[in-house]
Amino acid sequence: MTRDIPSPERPPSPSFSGRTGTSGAEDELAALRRRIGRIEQGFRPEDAPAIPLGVPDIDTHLPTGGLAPGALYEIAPAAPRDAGAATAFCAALAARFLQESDGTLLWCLNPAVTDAGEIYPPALARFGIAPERLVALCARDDATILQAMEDALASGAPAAIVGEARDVSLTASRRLQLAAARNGVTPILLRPPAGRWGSAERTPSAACMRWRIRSEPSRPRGWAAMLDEPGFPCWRAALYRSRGGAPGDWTMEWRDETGDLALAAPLRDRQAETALATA
Amino acid sequence: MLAAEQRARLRITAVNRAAERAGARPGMALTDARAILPGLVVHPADPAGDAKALARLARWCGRYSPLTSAEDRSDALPGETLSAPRVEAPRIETGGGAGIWLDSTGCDHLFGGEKAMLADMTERLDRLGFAARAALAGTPGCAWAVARYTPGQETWIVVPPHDERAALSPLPVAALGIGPAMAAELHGLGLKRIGDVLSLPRASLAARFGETLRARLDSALGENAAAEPVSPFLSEASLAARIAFAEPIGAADDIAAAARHLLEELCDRLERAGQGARRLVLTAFRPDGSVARLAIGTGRASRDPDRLYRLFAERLPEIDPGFGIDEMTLAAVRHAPAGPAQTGLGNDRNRMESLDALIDLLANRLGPEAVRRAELQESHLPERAAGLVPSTKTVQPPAIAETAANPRPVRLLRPPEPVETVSEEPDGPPHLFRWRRVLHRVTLCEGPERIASEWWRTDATDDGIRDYFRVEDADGGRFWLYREERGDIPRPWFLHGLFG
Repeated sequence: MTRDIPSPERPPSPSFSGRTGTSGAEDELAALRRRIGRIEQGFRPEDAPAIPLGVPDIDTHLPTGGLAPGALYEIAPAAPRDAGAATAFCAALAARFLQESDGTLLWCLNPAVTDAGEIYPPALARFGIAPERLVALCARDDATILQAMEDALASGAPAAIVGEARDVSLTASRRLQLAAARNGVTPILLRPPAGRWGSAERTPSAACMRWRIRSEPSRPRGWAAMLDEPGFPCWRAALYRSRGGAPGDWTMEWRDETGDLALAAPLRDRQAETALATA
Repeated sequence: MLAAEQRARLRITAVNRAAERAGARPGMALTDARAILPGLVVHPADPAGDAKALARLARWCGRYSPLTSAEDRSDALPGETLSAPRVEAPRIETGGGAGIWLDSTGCDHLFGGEKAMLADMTERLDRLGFAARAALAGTPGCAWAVARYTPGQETWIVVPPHDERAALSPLPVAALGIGPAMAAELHGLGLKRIGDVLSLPRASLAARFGETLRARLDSALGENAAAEPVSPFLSEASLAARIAFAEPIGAADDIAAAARHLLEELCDRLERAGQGARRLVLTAFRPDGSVARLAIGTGRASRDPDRLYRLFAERLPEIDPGFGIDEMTLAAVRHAPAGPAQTGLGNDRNRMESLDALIDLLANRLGPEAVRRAELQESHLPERAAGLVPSTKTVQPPAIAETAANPRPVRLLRPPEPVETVSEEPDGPPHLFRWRRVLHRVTLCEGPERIASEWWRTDATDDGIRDYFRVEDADGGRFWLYREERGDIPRPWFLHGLFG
């Protein structure tokens, strides 16, 4: 058995393999070789195609052209009040990995971190996580959460894991990153809001992407605008650290009907005016 | 000798052999006993302590069978009833003291047969300082009678199968466990032995003495199958494994190796029975008679020794070997039918199995309450409609149609938190609200969505109607507020959740 597959036979970038115009048989052969390689050597993150976030502007900005599975992600709300937005963004991100591999999500809840109640399965379903694909774990301390995450990563059973943890040292995050790369499972750390227990953002982390999420005034359209009702969920997502890439800052909207992310239109003047008038 | 106050007199409740030989009997007034035996040593009786000790001993007997129980002392035991025997009644032999039931079905082969098992049992009990007699029979009633009333000094008796009638016939009628009053009545009629009773037509006995006597006879002879099944857990008892050590072991490695060995043996047995374990109890017996127990549960029936061992491995250090362990047993106390072992290549199946294994691992480490699955129920109230329930509970297939209609918050506060509000109109939605000391100015608002509680539920504590509003504040925070209306009384506002 060869330990390695000769690199020329591997397609240059898996994300392009479908469009290179080579014959179907060759394509299939390459895919099979890749699978065998993966079985022989364990999972290698560079083999797995990145999963697009679904917003072209952001995907082209990301170094891998999307979200790489088997890597550590970190999400934190900007303030305690943004816990809902961060939870929703977290679910939307995790749903990407779930769809790709048709797997389960393990959500390790820690009331000490979010302090904004339990996750509510019917709402998560709107962000792409079906209730039957969700397993939740309730714990009260970081050590338990991190240990459970490592065990879950090692088992390779869930497709993605969300862990709510307050203090994650660089070593702990490296361990998660390594275990993730070994097993092809994607861990996402949901951190406490910045500035509450010192800033989680200032502690170094091995995460490949670190996001700060703030909820933004929504952009109601149609009937909602006429009735002054809230529109689609809208978030300001700051990618303040991206391994091998540049930071970024986007205002995005979750389109409920399509179940997709999109960049949000700038705030309309009328709304800003009314906001000013009521202030 | 023990005495306790009964009916305003100190009466004897238990005597040792020496006192018995001298003529002291339970139920006798203490003053009478003192008259016979001036040198009597009396201790106050401690029924609660006795019960506890008996329960401990019953647990100790778990080394012979996973199904043991201490005898219920409220059973009418002839020697222990509160009423003293009537004076004119003939003397009724006391039927011994406390008892322990063991359902040894399928267990004896672990010890080299029924006789060897009983011999081992009584010898060990003797070493622990108990005067005990064991009897093994096809029916509980027969075993009870033989253990307590057979004359002689044997410490154990095995009644051969279908020999119950012969074994019972020479015993006194009290051995049927019918209470001293009825026993005295039978004596009065000249029916002194069970054999005498058995020779009479059953119907006339029932007419004369009521159902009790008939039920007792049926139970002792096992004739009326519906009356008292010998063992409702026939297969349960056999799903156990046992290992005894020549020298007590104490090292963690030895305990782990023994557990592993037991698991392999048990899984073998489970496989033959077509069963998988849902709950396993590992029991370690120390030479001093004390017992350490470790139980694990699995979410799905399993008989994979590797997987089960991983669940045990984490918790084996909890077993305190004390001065050594001389015996260990492993029993599948709960099990369910399981198909043949899966060795398929399917990726999905492997992943499902590893997910089950992961859930079991986490549930055994953090407690069964810690690992949860989403459950959706048909309920209007949001806190009841969906939630996270322990993964050990079987989750109903979710009915998602209703919940998808209206937006729901991603985080639900349990319980809802009160907020201070300012509204522009008396019944309108709030204009300003304060939650956790932060003031929020509402810019956009949708609602009300009226949710009535379920009047048909008897456990509904609040029978009000809630008006829910989805509001957005000037900074873009989206909240789920509600106010409960109950008649005309204005109700405070609550924050129930945060939207994405």
